[in-house]
Amino acid sequence: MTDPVIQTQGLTRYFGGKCALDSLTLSVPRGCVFAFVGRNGSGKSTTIRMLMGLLQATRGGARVLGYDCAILAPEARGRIGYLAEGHDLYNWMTVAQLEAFQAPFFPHWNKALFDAVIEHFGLSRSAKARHLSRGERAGLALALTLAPDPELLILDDPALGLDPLARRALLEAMVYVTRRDDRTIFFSSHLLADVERVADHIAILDQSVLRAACSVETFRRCVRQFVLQFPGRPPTLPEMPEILESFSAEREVRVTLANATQQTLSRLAELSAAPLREVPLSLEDAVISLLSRRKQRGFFLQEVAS
Amino acid sequence: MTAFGTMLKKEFRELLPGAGIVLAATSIAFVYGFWRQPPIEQAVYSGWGLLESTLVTVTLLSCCASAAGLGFMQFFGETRGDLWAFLVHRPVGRGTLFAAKAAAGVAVYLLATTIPLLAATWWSAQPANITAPFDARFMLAHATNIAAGLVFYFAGALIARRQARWFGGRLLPLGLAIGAGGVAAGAPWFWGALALILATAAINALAAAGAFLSHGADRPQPWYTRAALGLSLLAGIAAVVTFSAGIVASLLQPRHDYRNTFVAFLADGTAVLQVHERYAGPRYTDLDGQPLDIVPGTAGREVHMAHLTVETQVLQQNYRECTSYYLMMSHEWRERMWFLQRATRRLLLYDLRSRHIVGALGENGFHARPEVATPIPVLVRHYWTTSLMHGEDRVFMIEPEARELRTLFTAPSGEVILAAGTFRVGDDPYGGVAVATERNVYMRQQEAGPFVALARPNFEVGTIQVGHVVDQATFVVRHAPPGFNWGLAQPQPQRVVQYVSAEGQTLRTVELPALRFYEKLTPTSSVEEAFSVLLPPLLPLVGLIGEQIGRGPGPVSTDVVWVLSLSLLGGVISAVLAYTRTHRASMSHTGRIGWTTFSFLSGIAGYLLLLAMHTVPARITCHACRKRRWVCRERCEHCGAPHPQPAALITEDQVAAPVPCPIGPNW
Repeated sequence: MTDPVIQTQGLTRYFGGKCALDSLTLSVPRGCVFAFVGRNGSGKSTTIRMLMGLLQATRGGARVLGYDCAILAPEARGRIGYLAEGHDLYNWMTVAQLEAFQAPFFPHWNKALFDAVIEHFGLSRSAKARHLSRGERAGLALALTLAPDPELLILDDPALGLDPLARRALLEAMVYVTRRDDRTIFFSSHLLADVERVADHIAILDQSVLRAACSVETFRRCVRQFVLQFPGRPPTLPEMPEILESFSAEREVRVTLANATQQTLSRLAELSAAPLREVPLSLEDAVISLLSRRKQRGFFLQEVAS
Repeated sequence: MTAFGTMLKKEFRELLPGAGIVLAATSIAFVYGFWRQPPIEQAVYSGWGLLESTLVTVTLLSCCASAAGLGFMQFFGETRGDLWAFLVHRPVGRGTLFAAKAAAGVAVYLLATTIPLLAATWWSAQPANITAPFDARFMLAHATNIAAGLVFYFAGALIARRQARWFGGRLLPLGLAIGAGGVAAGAPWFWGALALILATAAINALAAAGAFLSHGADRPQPWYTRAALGLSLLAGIAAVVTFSAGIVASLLQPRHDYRNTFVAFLADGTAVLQVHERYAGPRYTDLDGQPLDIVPGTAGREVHMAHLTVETQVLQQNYRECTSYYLMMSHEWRERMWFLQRATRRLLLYDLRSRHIVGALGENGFHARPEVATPIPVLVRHYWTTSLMHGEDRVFMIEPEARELRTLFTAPSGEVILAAGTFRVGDDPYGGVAVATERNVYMRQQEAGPFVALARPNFEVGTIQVGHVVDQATFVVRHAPPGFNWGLAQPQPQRVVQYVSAEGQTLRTVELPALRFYEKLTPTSSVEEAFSVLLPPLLPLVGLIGEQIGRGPGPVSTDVVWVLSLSLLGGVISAVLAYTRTHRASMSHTGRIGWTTFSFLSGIAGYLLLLAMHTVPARITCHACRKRRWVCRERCEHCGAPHPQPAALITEDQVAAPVPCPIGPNW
């Protein structure tokens, strides 16, 4: 792993008495596409706002490109592209006016890139921001974020509320950036299919606490699903810390495990009437299993069914 | 284009609608003010033209309200949603962004208010529009009004950007702005008022800049912006505390009883005391305080006196009043009026119908072209100069028909005239003339009659009252102490009254008793005084010391002792509360001592400022010692334990060396 572009140490934020982020310690390597995943209110936007210096940490600290986030220097902001959640822009400005407003602030403004992105989204330069659709606004906001040629791109739920086509266009634009050397993308999202498509690293927040931070490949290796088969009604599985989720059907139980050891698999195999069968798990299913760990989804549905 | 220029351009474009609103509001204020101008006969007290009191008040309110609205809208629009992130995430200092926004806002505000002012000035300078002479300095009052708007502009910006509860401390910065508005409305000196207003504008500007730099949070900010924020909030807190206490006190104790006592003279020359009490008409007593059976206000009961203020005093000029530029003379009230133009010391004759200056009367006579008239050697020592004028050596008046000056009295060689006035003699309201010099009082009871001289007594006198008792053909001369009757709660010696014959002989002298002009009748332990507990102890203390220095060591009244004691009690309570709060918040030793001392000196306002400026972090139960600990500290302030680090379930490290899941089933 090369030097990290983002590094947080015990980053914590309270809003009054409510903990929005609890002791986040995270490292984002250079040159990766890092997905920041979690449910609503898990602290993703809070983390990003603290990384951008827009919010003070209650405790702990963070460095982005080596700069302290609490006092993010102007030159650091020049090297970071930030796309906020709502794609808020000055509604009265046209696309051309927004470019004219943004460009003088950035010494390395890439007009060709800006034009390419707005063309990609089919935007007219004379269109006012207030008249753009949600997807077009996202495209325009992305163009404004990409054109300064940032070293690090931080996107807060960029695909939120976009239709599939707009989402695809957005992802393509993001992939375009990663083709360039040493560029890093750190983005938060609810859309795990998109994450699976573009991300090579993932961090999962749940209830303000970091639950996973690794490469997507590692995550897939760690979260696995097995099917246990029984001749009759499945028995209640013994309590095992590795079990994230179990779902009981008529004669089988699907068990999702995290960090399963050989010993764990042996214990499960002993319970099953047939050899354990591993089921391929999509990233989305794996993340949902991890996040719904406490819900005991299988047991709940079983109770409802019975 | 530079980043600053780009930002300016964007702000100007965004502020266009706001500029239109400010321009319209200011223009409407001027139009309304001119439309409401009273007739010139009533303008003695209310002023005229640009300085008419309603106009000045309306433009002040308009400037303040529109500036506050402009500042608020300019900054509040970008605080919502993620527009704020879009604005500030760029490689320039946030100070530059704020400077550009503020520069654009201030420029737009000044432009939108100055244009109507210049138009109104041009309009009122046209001879046919206003029924009184014009002076370019009439603009100055509106200049300070516009300047006061700047304080409101930055207060609006601060309110928009600062994160605080709307029903808590968010609106407090308006306190300083309202104070600046008060300075604009009340301070009599232009440059002083302007400097004070600009200083308060700078304070609110710094506080707004601090809030902008810190995204609306109180920290982290440079020390000077935090200090400015503290000053701004403190002014607001003081205003709220004072206002609330006043309301509660007036609700609890609607009556505030007091008594004023004056010396008056009946038609036969008898000196009596006239007593005014709240909720009761004036009544008369003799000098010993025994009630007299006299119906107040009965025509002819009292002697009309000339008041000659002879004490040396600096004449307070108020740039917001017409009297600083022109004095209205009481001649030819109906169709023409005389104005003494103070700057040139010429008497302008103004035609009320044609609204033009007919000509000017100077030492060299009347001239149709005012600039030809030479200055009159007139001394303006009082604004209530009406028909009589005086220089150092003579008293004169205008002969309206002849349009010339007539000398009434020439001072003997070596004597300097200090004051002159008229008094009623019989049916003639201005029949008598009295003149005071440093040594004598000269009086005459009929036109063209001789002046009789009365040597002034050998003690300090502030005002000399002169009247005439027709039946006895005697003058009544009262020598009153300096300060006359105004605002004196302590007993004042009233000195003597002399009765002088028409030939100048002193017939008799009456000693007057010492009087309290103002006497409070409400009990000392009143509700109003109970609210002294809210006063900063520093105020009554400084007041007491000032009083002792001013009048020399003397007994302190019970009221003052009460107020001081209660405010000290308030200071002690505030200090205890502040110490407890800072101690619980684990503030540094210096911070604790500083806030405790400040809260003692500034009373409850200091403690409220502490609450407003320090967001107290949340507390949670320590996993180690089970006591409540601050979430903002790395280690527990009780046991020193660090916060527990929640372990991630899946990390790269775990892949390298798999370990059992550290999280139990209940995470």
